[in-house]
Amino acid sequence: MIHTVFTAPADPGLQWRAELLEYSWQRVHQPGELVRLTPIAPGRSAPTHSKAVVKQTLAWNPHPYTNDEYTGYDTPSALMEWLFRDRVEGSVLLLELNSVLHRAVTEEVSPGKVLAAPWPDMPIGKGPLGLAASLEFLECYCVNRQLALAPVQLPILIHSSDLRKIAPRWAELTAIIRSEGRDAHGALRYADRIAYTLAAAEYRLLHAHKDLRNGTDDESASAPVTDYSRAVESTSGEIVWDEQVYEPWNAVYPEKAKPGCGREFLALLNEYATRRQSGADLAAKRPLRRGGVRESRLLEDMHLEVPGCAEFVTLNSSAAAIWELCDGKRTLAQIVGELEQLFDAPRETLRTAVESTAAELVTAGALEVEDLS
Amino acid sequence: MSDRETSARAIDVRIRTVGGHEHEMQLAEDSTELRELFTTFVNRPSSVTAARPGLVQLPLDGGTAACTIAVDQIVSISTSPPVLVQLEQPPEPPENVSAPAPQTRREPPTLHRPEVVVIDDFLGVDEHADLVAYALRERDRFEPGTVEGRPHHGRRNSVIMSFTSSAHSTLLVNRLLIWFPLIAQALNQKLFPLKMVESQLTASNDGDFYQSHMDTDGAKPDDRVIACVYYFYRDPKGFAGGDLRMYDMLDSGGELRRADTFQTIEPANNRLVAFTAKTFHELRPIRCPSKEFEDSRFAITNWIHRTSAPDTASTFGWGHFHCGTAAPGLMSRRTES
Repeated sequence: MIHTVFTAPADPGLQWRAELLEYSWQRVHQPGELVRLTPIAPGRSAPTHSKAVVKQTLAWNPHPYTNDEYTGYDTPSALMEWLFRDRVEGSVLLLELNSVLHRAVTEEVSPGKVLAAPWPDMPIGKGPLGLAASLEFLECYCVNRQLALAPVQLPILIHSSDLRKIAPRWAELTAIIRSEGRDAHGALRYADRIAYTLAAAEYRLLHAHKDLRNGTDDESASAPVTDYSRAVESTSGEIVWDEQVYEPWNAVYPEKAKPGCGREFLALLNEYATRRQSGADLAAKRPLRRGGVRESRLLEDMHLEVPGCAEFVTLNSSAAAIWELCDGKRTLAQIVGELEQLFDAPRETLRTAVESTAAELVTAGALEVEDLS
Repeated sequence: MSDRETSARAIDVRIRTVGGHEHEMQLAEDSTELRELFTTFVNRPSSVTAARPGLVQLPLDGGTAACTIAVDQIVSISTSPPVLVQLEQPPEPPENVSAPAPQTRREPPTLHRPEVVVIDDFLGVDEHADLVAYALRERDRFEPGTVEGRPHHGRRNSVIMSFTSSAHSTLLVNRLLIWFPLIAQALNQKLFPLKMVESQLTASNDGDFYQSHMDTDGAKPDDRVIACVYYFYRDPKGFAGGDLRMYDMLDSGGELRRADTFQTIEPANNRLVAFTAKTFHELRPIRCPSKEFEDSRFAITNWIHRTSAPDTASTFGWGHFHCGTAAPGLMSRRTES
């Protein structure tokens, strides 16, 4: 079993990345499950996905003990919680949020062995642990100062038992490095990477470099994963796409990019954006009410009584309108279309509302969604 | 050879079992095995509530072999010379735990099994090895364990009371703080601001034990809330037994008392076990044939204290962490109330 895992907090601005990764995972027929770890503050609603399993975890950014704001806290703390709670067993393909799959990863790993993308820019030097002198402080927090660190970064393919061992130390070291490490820009931005490689060394994990990751500037997609954190350029060096300024789901122009991974990535992005825009993805999903669900109305709200659940599910007027259209005949795309006739709201807003309401009703046990694809 | 061994008399024990079979062996007068043999024999009727069947294991040939006997098959036990065996008494209930429910109460008590968190591979390979080396190096600092500062018949082990101030304690506490929110959640505890994390290092050797007890009565506002015991020892393992027994609680209309049923947790190497400090627990007797200090079972107990006066400035672990207030980002639905 391969668990493909990424971390994405419950930030609406990150949803497009998570959806795109989910689409690419589905498209390459990646075996196993897709897991979105979602650090979430209390009171916030969790994002929904059609394929990915969303696991809510405690929010560690900003760090609860240091108040430091750093996205690098999210992954080790969320992994630690997920592995502790769910007792997951198998291989874990751990991805950055800014990545998509171009090819399925089918290789599994055994405990003690890790496949990882190389990190050529790791700050090596003559300091302790073979690191740069700016990381000298680490020797105060490491029992063994002679460890050889593997210069690796995500994606990694690692066994869940190994990840379970190292995640707490990874989280701890990230906080220490962020507290003490400094460069010209302030606290170290790559603290989480150093922390990972050090924690893995302390637990005697052996890394092998694996061609797992392409960048958008690579000429050919030799690896199964493409990281799009770097801008896509044209043959003349002009930036044709940049994730920092991209407005989802605007059309993009792959033909403007130079041939290679960047162009392939933009083609994938366009494919999903078009599919999404046309509602083709929602057209393959038909919601069905579960048997025995009883409904009642009180003022503006509708209450659903779900067999086996102690509490009522309360729907506001928008959710109630969606519920009433879930008649077992309409697809989600048709429901969005009908709501467009009833409400003066952008299609994207209605789409999001339909998707999230359907997902919440599925979670509540009131609805099931049939996959027609 | 230890003083304990030279001072104890050798007792010839003859066990007669159903069918007229007899087993003979020699045990030290103060040995754990002798005590356990009599305790188990006397308590046979209640053994059906135990998690394990009524078996007793006795050493043969100086501990190089063992004989396991089903207690319900024992007809009689003869000893020469005669010995008076002081059987284990049930623990005195602490102040906040009431006496057993009166016989007139109609509602049967409900049984509560306490939550226990078990985390394996808690420390890295070198950190674990370093702790073992530390414990062996510091053997002269271990003193007989006490209860509330005084020797107690219910406890026999050795302890370094001042361990909290050591770098090794800090190493463990810093890692523990990363786990703290998850442990608190798993134990159904509302997250709380910390006052301190208190540490104690114990060594348990042949015959050592700590009878059933709680680590707090929960009466003081700044008291211990969660107990976390980290087990470690030298490889290869030089002892047997020493399990952690976690007792269930009986609730009779809000009045709590210890039940006879329990769960058993093995003190595996490099394992952390966490539970609420108000849980009745017991260190089962340890058998360590070599009696060498190096073969002891070592444990670091960390007690996480709550504070009633939150202080954002107080630091914990290596000094980076401010845990004097409960961080809102960690408050999940389960921990909020």
